[in-house]
Amino acid sequence: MRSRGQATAIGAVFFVLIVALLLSYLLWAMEQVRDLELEILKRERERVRAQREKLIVTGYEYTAFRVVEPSEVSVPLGSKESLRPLSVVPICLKVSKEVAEKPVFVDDFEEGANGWKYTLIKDFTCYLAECRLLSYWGRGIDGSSIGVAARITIPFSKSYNDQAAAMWSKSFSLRNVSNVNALIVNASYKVTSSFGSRSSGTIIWTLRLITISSDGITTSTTVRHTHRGNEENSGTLVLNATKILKGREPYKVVLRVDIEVRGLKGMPAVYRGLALFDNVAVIMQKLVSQGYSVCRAALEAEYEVPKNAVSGFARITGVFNQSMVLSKVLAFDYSSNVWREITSFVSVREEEFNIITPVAPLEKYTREGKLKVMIVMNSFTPFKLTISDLEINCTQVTDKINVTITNACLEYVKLVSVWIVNSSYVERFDVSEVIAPGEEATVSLDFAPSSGSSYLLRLVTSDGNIFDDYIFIGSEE
Amino acid sequence: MSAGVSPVIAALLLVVIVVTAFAGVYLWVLQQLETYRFLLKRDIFESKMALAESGVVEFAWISDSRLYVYLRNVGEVNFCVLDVFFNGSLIANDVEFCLPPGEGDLLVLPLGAGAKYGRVKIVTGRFNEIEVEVARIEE
Repeated sequence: MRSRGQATAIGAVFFVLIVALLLSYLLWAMEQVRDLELEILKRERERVRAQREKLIVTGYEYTAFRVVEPSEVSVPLGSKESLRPLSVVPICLKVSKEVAEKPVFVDDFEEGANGWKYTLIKDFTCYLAECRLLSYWGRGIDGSSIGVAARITIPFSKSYNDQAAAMWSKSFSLRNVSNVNALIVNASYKVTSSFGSRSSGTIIWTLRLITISSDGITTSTTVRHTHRGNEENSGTLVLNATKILKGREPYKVVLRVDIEVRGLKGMPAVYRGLALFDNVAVIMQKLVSQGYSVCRAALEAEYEVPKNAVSGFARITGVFNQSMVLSKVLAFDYSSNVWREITSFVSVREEEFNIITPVAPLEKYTREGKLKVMIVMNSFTPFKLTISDLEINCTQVTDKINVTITNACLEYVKLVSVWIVNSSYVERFDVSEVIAPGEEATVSLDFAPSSGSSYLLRLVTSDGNIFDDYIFIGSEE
Repeated sequence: MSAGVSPVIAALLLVVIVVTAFAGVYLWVLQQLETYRFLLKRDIFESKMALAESGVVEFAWISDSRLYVYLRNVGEVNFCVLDVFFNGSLIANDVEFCLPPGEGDLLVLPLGAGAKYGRVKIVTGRFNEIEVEVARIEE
């Protein structure tokens, strides 16, 4: 019985030992699992912390500003008055007044008197004889003509003296035509005298071309011919009737004939005379152009712009000594081989102007780095332009790009890589930049971008976070 | 006398048998526990190592029939690439490409001509995986 008790006691001790061993292992295993859980928690915390990183690209600079002075300046129109400072004077041309003529009416009397009215002012006064002043329409100067016929037949005359007068008249108006600055009246005339075979004497013909306005303003021209035998005279009466335009319409044209007979004698005393008018024309002259002087100058400047320039502004500073000079700034378009206006301005006398105008797109106006700008100046009066500045302000793409990066989180961030990528370019830049919370840093990259391209800009931090942004390398359109 | 000795012998035998049996059981349990302890310790260590391993593909692209992958080790242990898959196909195995913590480098692998776009999966020595998209860049 006692030995069974001993064996039981020994077994109990072993049993306790085995159970204690198992328990210690269990506790150890639990401790290990807890350690692992703590490790997982630690990694998760680190991951969350890393996710809080935030970098923002707040700017990038890939251009540099450059002022380009002209490599050559010429004055294709006008002349240089001085070189320093550059001053230009124009060429002036005088343009005369321009008028256009328009007939109010032209009568050639081929179909009759055509609205002309005959008035006998004073007839001859001889008695017991035929002395008459008659109206005439028939064969004349150029086909048919109107006129006055003098017929004197005196059976016996020792010396006959007399006077007579008659006229043809016609009214006209300009029918509210504006800008009439002159009125010209023309009339062809012809005077013929024929004495009887046994007659002699002197006949004085006075032909008048008269224009009259309704309120009495009169202009006239006169021609006088003295005949002592069978004679003939012809010509043209030209009257500047502009003065009557100041008067009221309707106006009247008068063809007046005065005949004076001196010492007509003969047995019988016979005289036949004819005063004819033809091609009576009333012509108005309208002013088309007042006539002025044109002063023009052109200044051309050529520049050597950088080949990687993306934009350009022409800057022109100067002063005119005259107002009202219209200036146009042109740039030579190499794609079309024409000069194109890029801006224009009007001068104010003695006041300096400062014109800044874009020359865009720059590719269109440059070839092999050459850019041509011309200033064309127009005025009605002579002027002088004094230039202070004649330059092109260029923005060019540099061989470096500066990227400004802001840390937008509450942790310190270490930037380790910057990538610049597009469909044909990939490059990594090794950087080591620690950026404090809220601070910004500028990273300079040795990279020459192409104009008109866009790139992916990728930032990589030491915690493995990646931030993407895009940059556009502009070319101004 | 024999009736007096027999009980003693019987008691001693019983004690010996009990001690022997329990000692055997004890030793067997002890050995088993040591084995489990070792395995658990190893598994936990590996798990911790796997947690400490972390890598990132900064950028990957295809050019000239090659796959370029720039990797950075952002973990606390060495980062080793084991296998690389392209569009699900294994293109490299047992790649001896390891990065110490904080370092980055370019992994270049040959790729079939004509590949323009795809997904790359990188399996690490601790069986972590990274997947990225790649596209061709005509430099």
